[in-house]
Amino acid sequence: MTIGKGRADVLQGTLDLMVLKTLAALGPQHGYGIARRIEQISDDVLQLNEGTVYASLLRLRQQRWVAASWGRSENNRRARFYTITPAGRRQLAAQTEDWERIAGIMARLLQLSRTDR
Amino acid sequence: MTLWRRVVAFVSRLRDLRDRRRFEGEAEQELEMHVELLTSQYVRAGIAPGEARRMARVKFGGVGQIKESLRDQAGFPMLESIIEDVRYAVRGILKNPGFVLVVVLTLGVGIGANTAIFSVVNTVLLEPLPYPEPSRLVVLQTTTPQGAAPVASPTKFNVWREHGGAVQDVSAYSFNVANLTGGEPEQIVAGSVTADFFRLFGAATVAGRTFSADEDRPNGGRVAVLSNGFWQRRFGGAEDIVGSTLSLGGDAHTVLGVLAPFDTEAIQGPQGPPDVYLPFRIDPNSAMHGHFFRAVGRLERGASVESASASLQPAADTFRQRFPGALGPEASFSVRSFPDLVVGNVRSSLWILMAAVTFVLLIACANVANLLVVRATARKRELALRAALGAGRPRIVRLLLTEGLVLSALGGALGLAIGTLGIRVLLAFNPGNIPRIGPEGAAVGLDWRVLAFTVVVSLATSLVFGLFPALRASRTDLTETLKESGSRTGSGFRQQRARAVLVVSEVGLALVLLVGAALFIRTFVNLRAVDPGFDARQVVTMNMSLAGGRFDTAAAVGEVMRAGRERLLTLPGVEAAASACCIPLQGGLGLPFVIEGRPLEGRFHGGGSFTPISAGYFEAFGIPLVRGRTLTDRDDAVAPPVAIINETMARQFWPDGDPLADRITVAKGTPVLGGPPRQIVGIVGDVRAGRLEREPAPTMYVPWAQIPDAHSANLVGMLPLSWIVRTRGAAQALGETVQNELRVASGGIPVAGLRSMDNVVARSTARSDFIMLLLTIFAGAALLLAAIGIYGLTAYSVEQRNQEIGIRLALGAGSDRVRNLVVRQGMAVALVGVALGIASAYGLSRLVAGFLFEVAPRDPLVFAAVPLLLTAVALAGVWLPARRAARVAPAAALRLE
Repeated sequence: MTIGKGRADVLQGTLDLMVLKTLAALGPQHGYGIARRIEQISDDVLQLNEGTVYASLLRLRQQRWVAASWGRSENNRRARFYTITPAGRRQLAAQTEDWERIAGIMARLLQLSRTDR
Repeated sequence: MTLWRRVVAFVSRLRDLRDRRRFEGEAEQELEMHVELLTSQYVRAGIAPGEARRMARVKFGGVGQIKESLRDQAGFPMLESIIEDVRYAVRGILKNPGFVLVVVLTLGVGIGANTAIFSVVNTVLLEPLPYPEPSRLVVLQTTTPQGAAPVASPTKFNVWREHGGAVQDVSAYSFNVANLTGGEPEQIVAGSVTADFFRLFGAATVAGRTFSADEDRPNGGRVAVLSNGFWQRRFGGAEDIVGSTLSLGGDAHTVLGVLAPFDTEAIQGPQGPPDVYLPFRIDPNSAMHGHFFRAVGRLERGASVESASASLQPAADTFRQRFPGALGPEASFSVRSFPDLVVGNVRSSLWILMAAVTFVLLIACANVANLLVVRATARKRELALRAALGAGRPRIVRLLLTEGLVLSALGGALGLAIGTLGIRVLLAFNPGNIPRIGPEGAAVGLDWRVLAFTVVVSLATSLVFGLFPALRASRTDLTETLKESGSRTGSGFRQQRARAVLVVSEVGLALVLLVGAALFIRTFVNLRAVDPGFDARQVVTMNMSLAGGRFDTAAAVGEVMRAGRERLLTLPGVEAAASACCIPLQGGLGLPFVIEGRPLEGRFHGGGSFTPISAGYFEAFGIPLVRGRTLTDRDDAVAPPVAIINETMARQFWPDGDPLADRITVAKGTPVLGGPPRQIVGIVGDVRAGRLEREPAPTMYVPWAQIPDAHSANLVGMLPLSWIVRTRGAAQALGETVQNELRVASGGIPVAGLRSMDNVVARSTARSDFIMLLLTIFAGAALLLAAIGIYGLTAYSVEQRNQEIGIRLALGAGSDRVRNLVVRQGMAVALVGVALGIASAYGLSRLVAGFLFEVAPRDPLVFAAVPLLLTAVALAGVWLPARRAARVAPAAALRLE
């Protein structure tokens, strides 16, 4: 996995976490909506192949962390809407905690190496 | 990921797989919509529609690619490509039916032989005995420095029952034939068992009850329990049988109950399953030291064979106190696992066969691996093409392994058929006294263990023969192979070397098997050459039960023996007739003796076989008289007691003196068994009465009429009387007449168990013959496979080196030289295998030492002849292709370029 200059490739597990968070925050969404939200939040820093959102959604669906149902979009087209499940919320909570802990460790670690130099 | 999560994901994958088409349709719709929404967003931002669409696609990341990855993620890409591999493999091998036939046949025979032997191993060794908690069943025995004897005497049994230590439910049983009287007399099988026997072996009743401890005491009343089979056969399963009377040997017995069907195969004697069970009625105060039955019990929970044996120490102390001198200072009591006793030394014979048959399979695998290497070489270009088109190394290995798997699955299916049919044929042909296999091996069959075994063996086989060529082929250098103009120059030196290794191991394994078979064949020949000391030809034997009140004195038994013989001798065609307690190779009795007037250190001078006989015994068996006289009818109950001994006894105990001048007393001073002093009146030739391979033991023959009455009554209750008839013409033809005459002479006692003495002799070596037969078949198969392997290797290398040979010939090498070159190279491989085989066989052969007779495990003749035979066969395998090489036409070979 390479980290681009200023723009980051998205790690798989991270993308799953972002999708879950989006669904938890905004309620039922279709794939396009999720992609827009992630783009908006990340201020274009994240270089996302939007198709990978669907791979992520399928993974989450196989784990029963999200549920899918067909409905009508704003422009009245048939679209698949995704909803976070209770199991998904639990997973989100657990992952968030993990993420924060690791992020904290990383931050401290990077701080240290910088002062070492 | 937790297991549960994996299961959840698996289930939804399965659902997607089922609705594959719908799944893909929906995904496509969803992705298309996304791209359209992106496009319209760009258009709204003022970008031209064409450009907007392009940008949308870039941002999305390639619809086709995403769709592909979704599809992979949704189903089971691994599974699907494996199915594809299998389909491809089947298609590929169907194009080469000849190749497939050879491989499947080779594997089928190898796996089939393994399945067959394993199904016997399974039945005999692995299947638990059909009794409650069989692993806790033990036999009580006496251990001396000479070994352990799993037989019991009434005196020992009483002590064991009182001081069993960690052994509970100590029970006794013994099987004999008895006469069912009151109506047409019939010989049936009767078991004498103690009251606990039924609980110990889990025999339930369908009607009535089994006997109580009170009924199992002397004078406990005459009662009987019927076996289910006998009840059905004789009484048609009549409900009202309980309480009726059954007449046995003239005595009325009250029927107490009927057993549920009860498998006695592991318990019963040579007479077959018991028809009735009678209380053993061992006298708690018995002073009888004769060992004639089996004592069994159940280990306490948590006790082991060792701890239970140790817990019998108080029993041994009590026994020594109660019967001073009856248990030697070095002897002790111990237990042995009952299942272990049932299987006996068949365990090691079966493992020998299992090892042998595994060798055959390994050789078969080596041959198939060789074939596959050849095939992989021929397919080099195809595989290189696949690699060039992006198939990774694991993918190609998998493809080739799948082919191996398909082949071995076919071989396994064929092997299962061959194995189940083959074992039927073999067992029906020669049962070889293997315990637990049922009549003619009926108990041996397919069960999940045999099936699992065959499946595992097939899989392992495909790995063994498939992996090697697969790894080899996948390492191919792409560009080199693709550049090659044809397949002619494909075989490099390393490839040949790898195949040579396979052939070397094949030859080595074959040599080990051949040595094993040769040792058993020599044993077989030596056993045939043994002089048993009697003439079995034209001798028939049969038996007669004298159990019951009529024959409680030795004189009464002696009278039946005399009258029967007299009557038989009037028959034309009967040359000699006699009767005895026992016949050679069918077990016998042993007793100690004292030589009168000779100083004595212990209680006895020695011990030996003790055989009560009638007049005419030596004549009927053709046992030569060496000195003195044989027995006559005048040696009856009132005549002075006499004995006849064999040469071994004379040699051992009278190295310098004259036995005919001495008197012996058998079991002197022992209750029941002890007799009067007897004059030795004759010396006869030795007989191998125990087993053909065992040296003759000192033996005493005495007239039955002259043994103590109590001993006679005990013998009659324990064994049927054996009749021996030597005929002039065909022995079996007289059988019925003889049986009728004996029935008349004995006052209506039935005679049964007609067998020729030849048959008795043959049965005594049946097991080692059976091993010999199977090993010979396996070794023959191994020899054939090894020859094919050598031939294949040489023939293939000749074909590969066609050009080289052509050039050599063109440059003036004589065809003899070319032939010798090929022979030399082929034989080098074979000889390395022979050398390795000799070394392995030299190390392994002592594992079979216990089965050999008059041949050393490292017999020089075997170790010289077998390598020579194998070398000769290898030479033949090399010679044919070498001759072909010498005939290569140089011009034709060079034109191929």
